[in-house]
Amino acid sequence: MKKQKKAFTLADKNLFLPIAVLVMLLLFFLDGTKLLQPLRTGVSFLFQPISADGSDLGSRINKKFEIIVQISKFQKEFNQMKLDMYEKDVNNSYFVTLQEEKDALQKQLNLANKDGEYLMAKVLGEERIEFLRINKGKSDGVGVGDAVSLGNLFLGVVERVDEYSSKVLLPTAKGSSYEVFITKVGVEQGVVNADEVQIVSKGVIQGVGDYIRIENISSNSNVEDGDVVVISDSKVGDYLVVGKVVGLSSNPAETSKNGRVEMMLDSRYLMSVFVNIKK
Amino acid sequence: MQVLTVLGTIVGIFVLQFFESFFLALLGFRLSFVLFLAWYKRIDWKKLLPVVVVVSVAFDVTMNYRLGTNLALFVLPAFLLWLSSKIFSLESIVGLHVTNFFSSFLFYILNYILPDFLERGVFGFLDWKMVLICVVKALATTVLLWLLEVLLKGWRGRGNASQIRLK
Repeated sequence: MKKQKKAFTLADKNLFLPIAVLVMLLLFFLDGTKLLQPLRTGVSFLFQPISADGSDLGSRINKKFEIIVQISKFQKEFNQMKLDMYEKDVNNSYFVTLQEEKDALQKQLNLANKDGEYLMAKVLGEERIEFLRINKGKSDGVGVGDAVSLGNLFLGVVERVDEYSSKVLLPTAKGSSYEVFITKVGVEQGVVNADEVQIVSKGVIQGVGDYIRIENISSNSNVEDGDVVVISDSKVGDYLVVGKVVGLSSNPAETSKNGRVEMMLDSRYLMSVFVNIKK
Repeated sequence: MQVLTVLGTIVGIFVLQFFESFFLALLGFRLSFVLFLAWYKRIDWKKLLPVVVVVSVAFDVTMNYRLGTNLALFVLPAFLLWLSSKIFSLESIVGLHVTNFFSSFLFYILNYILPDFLERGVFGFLDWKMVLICVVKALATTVLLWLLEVLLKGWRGRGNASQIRLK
């Protein structure tokens, strides 16, 4: 007796993977052309509030556990902060002078004086070293390219905006680079040791992933470890402090110096930030 | 009945969104992948695929990723599972859990490097400490899947208790 061959039908096959790959490629392509912006807006309207609530609850419980686990470390930090407060009080009186110098420099370097509005945003959960997410989006006036800061400290630039949330690319992210200048503003034993802002050298900072590399520092300059790195990039449009120079190379044969930048703030512990909304 | 199923699925997607964000902020752990692996072999692909697409699009928007990123994060480990099924027997306990572990490990590694690559063309940062964290998360996922397997078997077993078997 001849065996009857079972007719081949697509219905018999598990087509999950091939169809999923096709849908995936279609979504990549359409999102790149901005045709799916209304879909993103609608999905953001539906899911962002519940996602933000879940993220907020998870973050708060995470931080409670962290406090319990690191209580002795927090005690040492608290004591150190009391000493730092004295130095900061002196520094604050100096910032008025810095503001005047900043305005003068802006005019000198022809950077447009963009009068922006600062919007306070909350950092959403999931600690990542290359980006952070905030709970403000298009509906609040946030746009791609807006600078994010905390006081005079630079935190990053908005990379992607949805209706109710945004993604901020940190300067540590691979592929990000900014023009900077280095200055020697500092305080020693409670005394400000500079009369005016002096640009010691210009340079470029590049994100490497877990740290920031600074390059193209003039080899003739007297840049030292501990000097302050300030952003002077038109992408940011404002002078904001990034951090301090550490690990400066000391090879006399090099045509330019390089080193690392230690950020003033650890982005993992941020809870609120400010977005400079461009008008 | 179908209306109830659809309503239940919609509510389930919202609940999943809440718990996904909750566990992501709390432990950096993605609950959705555990559920995906648990259902991948159990549910008809024609029912699973639309749910996975909708859930992944929702995650892409709430995580501010490019659309299709989360679908890629689910599909690539699923492809590894399919490939493993051609080489090993997934019916054996060891084969099943080992493939689950490696699929989960691949998922957590891709979670770090793929979104940045799709957004900016640069692979995300990954060091040995993060790889170790991925191993721990993959182990946790495998254990959770094993627990789910035990629970489902127990539930199915109890379900047959009311039937009389004639020998």
